[in-house]
Amino acid sequence: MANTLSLYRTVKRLGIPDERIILMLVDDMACNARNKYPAQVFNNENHKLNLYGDNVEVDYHGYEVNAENFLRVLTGRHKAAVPRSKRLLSDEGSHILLYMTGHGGDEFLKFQDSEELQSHDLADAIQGVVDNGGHLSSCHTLFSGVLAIGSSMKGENSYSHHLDSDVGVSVVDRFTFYTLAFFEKLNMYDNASLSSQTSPDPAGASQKLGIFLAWVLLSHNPPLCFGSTAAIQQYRMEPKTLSWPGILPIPVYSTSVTVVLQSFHFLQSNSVNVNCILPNRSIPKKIGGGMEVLGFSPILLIFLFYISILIGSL
Amino acid sequence: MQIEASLWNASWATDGGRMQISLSYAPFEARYRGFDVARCSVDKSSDMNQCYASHYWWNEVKKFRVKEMELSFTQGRWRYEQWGGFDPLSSNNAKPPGVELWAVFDVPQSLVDVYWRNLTHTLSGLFCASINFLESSTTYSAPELTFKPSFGNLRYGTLPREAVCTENLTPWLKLLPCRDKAGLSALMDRPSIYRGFYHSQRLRLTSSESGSDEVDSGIGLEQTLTVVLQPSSWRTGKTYSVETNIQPSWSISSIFGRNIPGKCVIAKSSNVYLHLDNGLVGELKNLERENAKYVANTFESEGFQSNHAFKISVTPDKVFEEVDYLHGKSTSVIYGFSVEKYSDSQPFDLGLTWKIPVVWSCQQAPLHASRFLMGSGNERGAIAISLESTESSEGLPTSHIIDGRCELRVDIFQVVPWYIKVYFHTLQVFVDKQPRAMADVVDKIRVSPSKDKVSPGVMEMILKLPCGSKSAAFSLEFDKGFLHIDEYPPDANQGFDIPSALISFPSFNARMNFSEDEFLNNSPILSKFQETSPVLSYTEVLLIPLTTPDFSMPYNVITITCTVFALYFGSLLNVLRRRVDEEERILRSRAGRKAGWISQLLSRLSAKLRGRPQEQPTSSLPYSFISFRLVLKILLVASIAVTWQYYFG
Repeated sequence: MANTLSLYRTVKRLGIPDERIILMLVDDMACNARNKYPAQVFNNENHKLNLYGDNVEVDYHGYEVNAENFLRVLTGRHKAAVPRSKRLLSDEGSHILLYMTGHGGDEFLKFQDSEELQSHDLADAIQGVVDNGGHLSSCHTLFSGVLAIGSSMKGENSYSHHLDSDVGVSVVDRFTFYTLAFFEKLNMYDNASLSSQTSPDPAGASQKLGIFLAWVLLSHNPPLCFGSTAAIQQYRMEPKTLSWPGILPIPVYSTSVTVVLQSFHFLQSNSVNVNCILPNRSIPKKIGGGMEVLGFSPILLIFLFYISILIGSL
Repeated sequence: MQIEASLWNASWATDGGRMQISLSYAPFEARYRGFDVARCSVDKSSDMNQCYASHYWWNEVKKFRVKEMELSFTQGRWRYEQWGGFDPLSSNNAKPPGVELWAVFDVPQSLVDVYWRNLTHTLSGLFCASINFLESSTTYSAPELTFKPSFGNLRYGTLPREAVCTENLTPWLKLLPCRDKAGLSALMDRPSIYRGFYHSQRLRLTSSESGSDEVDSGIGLEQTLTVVLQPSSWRTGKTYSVETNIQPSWSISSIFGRNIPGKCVIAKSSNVYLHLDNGLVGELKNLERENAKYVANTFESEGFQSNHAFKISVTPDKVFEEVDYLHGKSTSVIYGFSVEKYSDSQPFDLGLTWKIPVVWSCQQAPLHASRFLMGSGNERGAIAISLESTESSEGLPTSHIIDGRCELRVDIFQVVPWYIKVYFHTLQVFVDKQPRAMADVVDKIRVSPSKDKVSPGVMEMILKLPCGSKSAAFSLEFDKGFLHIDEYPPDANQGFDIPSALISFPSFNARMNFSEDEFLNNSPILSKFQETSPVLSYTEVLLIPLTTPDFSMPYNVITITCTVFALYFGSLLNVLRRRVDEEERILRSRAGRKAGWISQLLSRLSAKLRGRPQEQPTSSLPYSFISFRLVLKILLVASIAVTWQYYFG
C-alpha cells in the first residue's frame, strides 16, 4: 500500500488534482488498530514522510476493489448511479497512467487474495481504453499506443526494498523506491525526459520510468488511475503506430517521443537488456555443462601420464 | 468573477512557521492551469430556472428530496460504563461502529427505495466510503416504531465493518467553510484523532421547505466530530514518580500538537467549552465538604480558575451552571471560552492541571444494555440482549407512574441479516432472572421476517419493565443459512456481522437545563444540549462465523478432471497413433546422416578405450561432442608427457 500511496502523493505534488485520480486501496492499513502509527503510512524506515497525509481521497477501498470494478473503471461501463468521482471519465485527449502493485504471477494479477485477473483481460480492457481515443480525427493529440513496464521480467521475482522492523512489515519494493527517489528531486515545472538519462546504473531503469511518467504528467491534464492489487508481469502487446501531431510546444517532447518509439521495440522483442529497463538484478543462471570442460578427471590424467611415459621410454 | 493570488505568511500557510516566505526571491510569479468553474451561466435573469436542474451537483440534495438525514462514521466502541450514557453528549454522539445512515424522504412511498439507492451512491462518492453497499435491499430496513413517525419514508442502514480513516475525514472537513485551515478545525491533527479510543464523525442534514410560515426554507447541516483521547503523560513530560494517583493533566497542544489559531473569519461564532459533568462536580463538592474548606461556591467565586482540585490555564469568558430541579443531584458546569479574540500570533491553548486525585463516575443510562451470542456450532445459535440496571435508575421520578404502576419504557430496534434466520416465536423474556410471559413485558412488537437474499429481519419492541427490576434479558434463537459462493466476502473466514441494536429510553430526556441567557441562543452547541431527545444506547456488534465453502474446491475439481481427461485422451491417442521404436529409428537415421567418418572412427576408438561394446553410429550429438573433448584431453596429456620425457628423461 505504501507503493501506491507514494506514487499518488508524487502525482498530486506534481500538479494532478484529486478529481483526476482514481485511487483503489484494498487494506485499511493506516487506521488499523494494529498500526503503531495511526493514520500514518511510511515508505521508508526513517519515517520521515507520512504518505497518508491530510488530504488523501480513496475512491475504492475494501471490498470494492475487485476485478469487476477495476474493469468497469477501465472500460467506463458503470451502473447509472455510480458517482463521478468513481469514474475514469477519460476522453480522446487523455493520457492514462495505470500503476498497479500487489501480487501476481505469470499472466495474471491477484485481487484480494480471492480473485485473479488474467493478463489478456487486462490487455483487452486497456485496448478498449486506447480504442476509445482512436476514433477521432488526427488533429487531436493521440497517445494511441501503450507502454508497459513491469518491475520484474517473466520468470523473475520482484523484491521488496527493505524491512521496517519498527512497524514490522516491508515498506516499499525496489522498483517503487528508486522511482520515487527520482521523483522527489522534481517539481512541477521541470522538463525532464527519458532521453536525458544515459547511465545504465541499477537505478537507471526506474529513472527512465520516472522520466516517462514525468512526461505523461507534465503534459496535458491526464486522468490517472492507481490500483493496489497486483504486479505486472511482462505483457506482450502489439504496438500501434504512434501517430504524433506535427506541432509540439517544447522541443524536449519530441526527443521523448523518439525514445518512446524505441522502447516499443524493446518490449516487442524477447531479448530485453535487463540492466537498462528493469532495476532488479536477475537471479544468476546456473552455469551449466560448459564449466566441466576445464576440470579433468584425475584418474584419467594419471593413466594417460603413465602411458605417455611408457611410450616415451621406449 | 476573478482569481486572486496572495502570499500568506500565516502559520497555517508556512507549516507552523517552519517554511517562511523568503522575500529575497521577489518578485513572485504565479501561473494558473486547469482552472475550472462549476457554474451555470445565464444571459438573462429570467433564465435562472435552468440552474435548478437536477444535473448540477449543488442541486443534489434537493434532487434527492431528503427531508432529514444522518450519516455517521465511527471507529471504536463507546464505553457506556466509563464514559457515561445519560448526558446529551453520549446520547447523541455515541454511534455504532462503522457507517450508519438513515434518511427520511419527501417522495411517495413507492419511490423511496429508488431515492435511497441514488443517495447511497452519491454519498459513497462524496465521502470515500463503501456506502454504496447499502443500496441492496438486504442491508437496509424501514423501522417505524422506534424512530419518529415518518409514514414509511424512513430508511435505515448500517455497515458495521467499514473502516474509517483520513479519507473520510477529508471530505467531511471540506464541507466546512474554512476547511481545516483556520478556526477550530485547524486542530484536526490526523494522527492524534485516530490514536484515540473512539472517534466518530457525524453529519446531520435537515431540509425544511416552508410555504408560508416564518421558518426559512433551507438546508441545515450540522457536523459533529467526537473523539475520545487519553492524554499521554510522556507527551507533557511529566514523570510518574510521585503523582501516580493523580489523573493526567492535559492541554490542547499536548493532545493535538497544535493550538487554535483564532477563529474562521466566515464563522458567526467560535467557542470552546469545557464541560465538567455532574459526577465530577458532585465529587468535588464532597471533597470540599470533607476537607471542611468553607467556600460558598467555588465555581462562582473568583477562584474558579484555580480551585483546590484543578487549575485551568485560561480564564473562561462565561460559566454556565446547569439548573437541575428534577433529580436533586449535583449539576454540571460548563466553562465557555470565546476564540474570537485570539489570532495567529496569540493562539488559544486551554490546559487543565490536576492538583489532587479525584475519582468520579459518569452518569449512565437507566439500564446498561449488552448483547451476546449463545450456542455453538455452525448450524444454530441464539442472540441474547441483556439489560442491567445501573445505580442511576434508583430514585426514578414519579412521572413514570402510569395507571398506578411504575413502569420503565424501553424501545429495542434490531436488524439481523437474512442469513441469520431468526425464529421470532422463540423469543423469551426474563425479568430478574425469572421467565415471564411476553404479554407482561412487551407492550408492542413489530416484526418484519427476513426473506432470503431479499430483506433482513427487523424487530422493533416497546417494553414496559417494572421499575424496581434489576435486570431483564431476551433471547432469540436462529439458524445459520448458506450463502452462494459469490456472496462470500474475500475474508469470509473472519465471520459475518450483526449490526448494533438500538436501545432507547424515551421517558428519559438527555438534556441539560440552563437558566435563560441570551448568550445561550447564540451558541448552537448549548442550544442543542437543551433540546429534548431520548436517551439512546447502542449494543455491541456481533461476529458470527458461518459455514464457508472450501474456496479451493473449484480449482481442485478443474485440476482433477483435466488430469483425468488428459490421461484418458492421451493414452487413447498413444495407443491409436504411435508405432513402437519409430522415434529412435528417425533419430538414428538423422544422426547417421550428420556424423562424418572421423567421428565414427573416434567413437569407435573411444569405445575401445573404455572397453564398452561399440554402439551403432552415434545417435546423439552430445555423445560425439563428449568424445571430441575426450580426444582433446588425451592429446593434451600426451603432449605434456612427451615433452617431459624429452627434457627430463
